[in-house]
Amino acid sequence: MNDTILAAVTTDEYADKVQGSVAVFIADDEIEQQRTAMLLARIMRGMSHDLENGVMIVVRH
Amino acid sequence: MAPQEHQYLLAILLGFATGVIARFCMLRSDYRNYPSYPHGYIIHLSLGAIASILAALAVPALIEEELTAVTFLVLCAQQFRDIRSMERETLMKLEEQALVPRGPDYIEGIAKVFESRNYLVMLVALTVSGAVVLSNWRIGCIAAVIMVGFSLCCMRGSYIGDIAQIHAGTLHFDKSLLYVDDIVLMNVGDPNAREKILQEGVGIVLYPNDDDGRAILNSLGQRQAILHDVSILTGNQLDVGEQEWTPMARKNMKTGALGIFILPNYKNVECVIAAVKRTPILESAAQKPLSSDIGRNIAKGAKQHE
Repeated sequence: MNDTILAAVTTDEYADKVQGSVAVFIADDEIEQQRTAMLLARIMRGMSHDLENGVMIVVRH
Repeated sequence: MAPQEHQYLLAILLGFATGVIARFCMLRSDYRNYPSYPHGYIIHLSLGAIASILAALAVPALIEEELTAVTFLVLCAQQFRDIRSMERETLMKLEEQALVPRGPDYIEGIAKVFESRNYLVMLVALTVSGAVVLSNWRIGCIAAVIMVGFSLCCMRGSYIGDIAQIHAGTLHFDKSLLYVDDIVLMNVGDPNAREKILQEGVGIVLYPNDDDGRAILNSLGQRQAILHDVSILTGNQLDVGEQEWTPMARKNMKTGALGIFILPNYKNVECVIAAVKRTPILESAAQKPLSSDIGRNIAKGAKQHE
């Protein structure tokens, strides 16, 4: 399996939805969350995905 | 020089020349840029020349009962099998740096084609040399023209445009999911990327003509070959670390239709459709369930169910 979750980005409101060993970034609001996810994706050569529950993940495919 | 020897020399020269000409005609460097000019040309022309001289020698050697020479020909034919692995290795190495790779199926197809072209060259040289030895040089020249034409005919294969109807599709998002018409393609998290995809992306849908076409479009190797060819022909904005622009092909499970998304350099739906149409059907993907009773019965049952 090649797909790896590199990081999860969420806001304070949904922070309890992410658990485990993945790196979690907490943003102040949705705009910062999207921006952080995009930056992480560019830095780590991944792609940001929206789980539609307040959590975004960065995945390398 | 004795007349018989003169005839042999003429046969060998004409067979050799025709073989080289046939190889040159088959050495087409098109949009795929493979083989690359001039080094790839030299490799393949040299191998083609060796193949044709060996084949051209076979008939005179056989007539003179020089069976060792004929055995040598068989031995050399075995060596041409290495061409396939040579092509495979080269293309596999190039794959590592490709943004939109060809895929192993496409590479295997190309490698097979290069090997088979050498055998075709041998057949051409053998036939022409045989024609000169058994009749005269005029018949040999006619045979040469026919055989070069035959070898060019053998190069023609089928294309995606022959097995499917290709139409423009509408790209749209349902929250973060990208669709082309009713086919889900991928999840895009970045809102800016979604906007760019809607503005500059092209979505098309391939509807297979029958179950044979459906089986071909079902092959992952064939889908990758389509994406590779379209990316080469229309350009692609994809870059390292920007996976949102990765061209994508996904099927509709119920109908077997294939939805494709690509972000070309310039948005031109007609050109993307034309590029998809001219993608060759890979040997490994070509399946014919309709040529079996089971496949036909299933297709018949599906039509009645509709």
